[in-house]
Amino acid sequence: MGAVYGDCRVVHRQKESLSVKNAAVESLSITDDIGIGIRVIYEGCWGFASTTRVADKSRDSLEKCVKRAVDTAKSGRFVRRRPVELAPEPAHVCDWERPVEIDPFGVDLSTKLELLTRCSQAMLSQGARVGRATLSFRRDRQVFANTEGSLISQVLTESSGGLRATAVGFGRTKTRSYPGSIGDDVQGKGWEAILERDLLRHAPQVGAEAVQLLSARPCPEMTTDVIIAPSQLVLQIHESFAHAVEADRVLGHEADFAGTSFVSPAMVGNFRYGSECVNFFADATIPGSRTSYMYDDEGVETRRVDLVRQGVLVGLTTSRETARLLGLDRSGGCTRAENYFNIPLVRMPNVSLAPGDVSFEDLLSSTESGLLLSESGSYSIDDRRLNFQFCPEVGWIIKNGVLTEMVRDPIYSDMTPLFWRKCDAVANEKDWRVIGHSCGKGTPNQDGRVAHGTAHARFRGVRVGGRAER
Amino acid sequence: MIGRDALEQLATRGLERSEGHPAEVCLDAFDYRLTRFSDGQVHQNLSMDGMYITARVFDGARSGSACLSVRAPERIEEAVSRALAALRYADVGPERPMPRPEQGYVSPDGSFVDETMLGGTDRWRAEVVQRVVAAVEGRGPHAYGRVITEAGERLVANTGGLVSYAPRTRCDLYVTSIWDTGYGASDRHAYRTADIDPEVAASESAQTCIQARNPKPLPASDYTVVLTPYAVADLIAFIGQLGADANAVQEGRSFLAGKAGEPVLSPEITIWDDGLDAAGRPTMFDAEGVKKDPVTIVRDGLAVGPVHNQATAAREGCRSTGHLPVFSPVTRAFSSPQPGYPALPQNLFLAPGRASVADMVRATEMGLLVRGLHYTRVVEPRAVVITGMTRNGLFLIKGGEIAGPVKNLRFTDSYVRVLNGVSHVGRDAQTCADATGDGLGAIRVPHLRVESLRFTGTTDF
Repeated sequence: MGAVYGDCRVVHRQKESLSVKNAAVESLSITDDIGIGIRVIYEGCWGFASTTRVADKSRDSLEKCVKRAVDTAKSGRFVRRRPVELAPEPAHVCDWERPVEIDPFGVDLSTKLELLTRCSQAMLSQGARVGRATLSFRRDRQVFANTEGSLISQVLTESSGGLRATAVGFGRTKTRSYPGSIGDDVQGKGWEAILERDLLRHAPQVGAEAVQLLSARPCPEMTTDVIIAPSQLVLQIHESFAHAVEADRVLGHEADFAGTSFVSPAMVGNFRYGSECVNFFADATIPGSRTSYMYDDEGVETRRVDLVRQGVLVGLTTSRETARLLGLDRSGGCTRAENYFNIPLVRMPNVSLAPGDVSFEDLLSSTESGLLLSESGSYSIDDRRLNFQFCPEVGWIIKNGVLTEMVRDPIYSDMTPLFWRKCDAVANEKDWRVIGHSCGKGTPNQDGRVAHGTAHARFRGVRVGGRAER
Repeated sequence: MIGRDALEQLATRGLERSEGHPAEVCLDAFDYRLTRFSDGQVHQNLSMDGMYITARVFDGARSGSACLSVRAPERIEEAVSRALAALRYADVGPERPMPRPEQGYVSPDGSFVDETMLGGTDRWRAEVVQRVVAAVEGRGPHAYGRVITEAGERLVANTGGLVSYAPRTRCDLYVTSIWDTGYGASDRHAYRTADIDPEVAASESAQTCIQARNPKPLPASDYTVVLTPYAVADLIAFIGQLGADANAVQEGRSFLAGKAGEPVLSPEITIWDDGLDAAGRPTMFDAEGVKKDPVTIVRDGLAVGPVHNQATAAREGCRSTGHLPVFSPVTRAFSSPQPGYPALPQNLFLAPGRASVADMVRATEMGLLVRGLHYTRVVEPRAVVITGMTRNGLFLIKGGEIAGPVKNLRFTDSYVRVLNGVSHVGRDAQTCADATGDGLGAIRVPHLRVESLRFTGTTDF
């Protein structure tokens, strides 16, 4: 049909989601979806089309889908400024499956629902108004092929499960979550991920802390040192670093929706993003994460890419197109689509804060006064990723290196590079973990898979508390 | 378009597999097209079509349900069979009676459909991009944006005889203009392509951008604000989402809980939801196939009522108002209905008043004109405390006149508190998108002038 490049992704997705609210089954849903997405470049213009018509092996329907992709690309010729070009990538032929110890789809539904029901009851027993427990499992079998000779098959399984207790009183609503408040910490593992987090053991504490938060005093307004737990720091990394260094945002491709970035290509290699102890990298080869894979959705082989070294910005996350626009030799392998019917976008493959060399215990004990902030609550950042405000679910006052009183609404805010320059310590490998969640990006919105690795980290002189109506 | 008859036959094939159990299927067919451009260059051009099928099977005695979602019509029997297999585990579900046939809605032929969209819109979108880029760049700024069209049909049928069906078309245009330190934006939403005027949208975006260049810093404080419909839509969306969900009212999580008939917002404020009003973006029935009733949520500042779905209505012994939310099958790959079974108003309206924008500015000795809000998130749900940033144009008002652009500010405030301080309501309403811009519904609101919005932080641009 005249296209100079084409690729296709067939994705077969199985998903199982269970939710128990107040000891009653709230929802039990199964998704079984298969389809194909076809992307072409025709006379320097992108075209994309998708269809569900793959199960019937209809050559005719596939050809129609290709034609739609090409026709769509043709319409772009009227407004073409420059031809689309891709950074080179060798052809790859590979089969790969993310390792799983216990198949989550092999565990009986009654076992799952019993666990959730008991967790929900345990939260309610502590006085929570709402006790919700959830499990979710997903398996994508996907095949990628392109006109350059790549043929890549990957099987990606993931599991998540979490608790959320909501208490109501004193004219307010407070929530506590475990193991995290955003996306239930999705792991690229099987049922073993659920066993590791031991939901039932944590449920009473989650319920009790939700109730406790109602009467906790509000976080005092002050400038102080904060230690941020991984359950909150993942979102900090996500919003005020990982999005800011996405090449498509930097180049303005998201200007009409999510926004752009304060980062420009000229800043790479010389901009001080954080303190000396801040090192960021992207690495999809980290095992056990929901964003672990061997090849991205453009068939690019993944590898570790340093983004910030000793505080200095040294790289961006890229696709084949953006790498070419930035004059790079090769894509960073950071491109993924949420499903077959989505186009691949620049995504953050395990963009992580590298561990430091101090234990969490030493980090805490060496903090004379401050706050420990845990589990993401509300979050917001401007459209260039500079001014952010987070309100974690809970704060704990630190006095003389010891956690003392719980406080509610521990809002903190700052400007991105100023904040990361306040980081004076990151806990070590022993404390470091990867936490998976979701992120909306693109139009149509793709609720994509993301994950970030981090340990606890300390930031000096952060403004906390706020003037919010509480 | 597939048509009602063909979809109903498909639904019947599925429902026959329910082995005597009450069952419901929802078929959502779509043809979605998008062209996205950045600095005048198209960088995404998409064509997506398919069908999203959800099957739910109930057990009357146990009131449980399970659902299976697939995207291929040939798998409808499998969808019902697998939902049936999962049903045996859902043995303690909450009461959620299946809606009766008279609660359904079948759209009259041709309503809310633009036939010019049915044959594809590739050329039309390219022309719109061309016209927008020319109009924006002709004034100086760089042009960014997207043009979306969608033609679709939804049919919900259940074994009790309910059939709801409606075809739909929609088109959306978003234009963002950037010129060094200046930003501007506009958007338009309609179900007919003829109702979208690219030049008008481009002009609004570009003019705002030009006026917003070289903003000056302003300290964070409490300011009187004049809010454009883009900003007002955000306020009303959160009031609806957090306040009007009957689940939240029943559980005491809503600011409306226990307040029926009492003042909750300014007497200037009347908010309602109407899924059949063509001035908004109609979504005539909900995910359970129940026709959307118009529901007044706040009248003259007094709390009236939440919106209901089947489950929340059953708890109170009242009738569902048709508000189990529907989502675009393109953008929200959820297994519908959602966990949590919220009841959401997706077609919100705020009653216009009598003021012009000039009246509002003239009445402001010291304040801000807020063109848009960005990344607004909940800090405290019961009081609807929200934080977010201003975006795409923030202007200082001094002595009753626009004094010039200022740098963006962060706000953190209770929208309930803010909407208790309304002094002027604009006379002209505009249809705005929901928060993601991908939703099926819309929010139609006028400008507002409110006495105080609490700004809590500054930024560099």
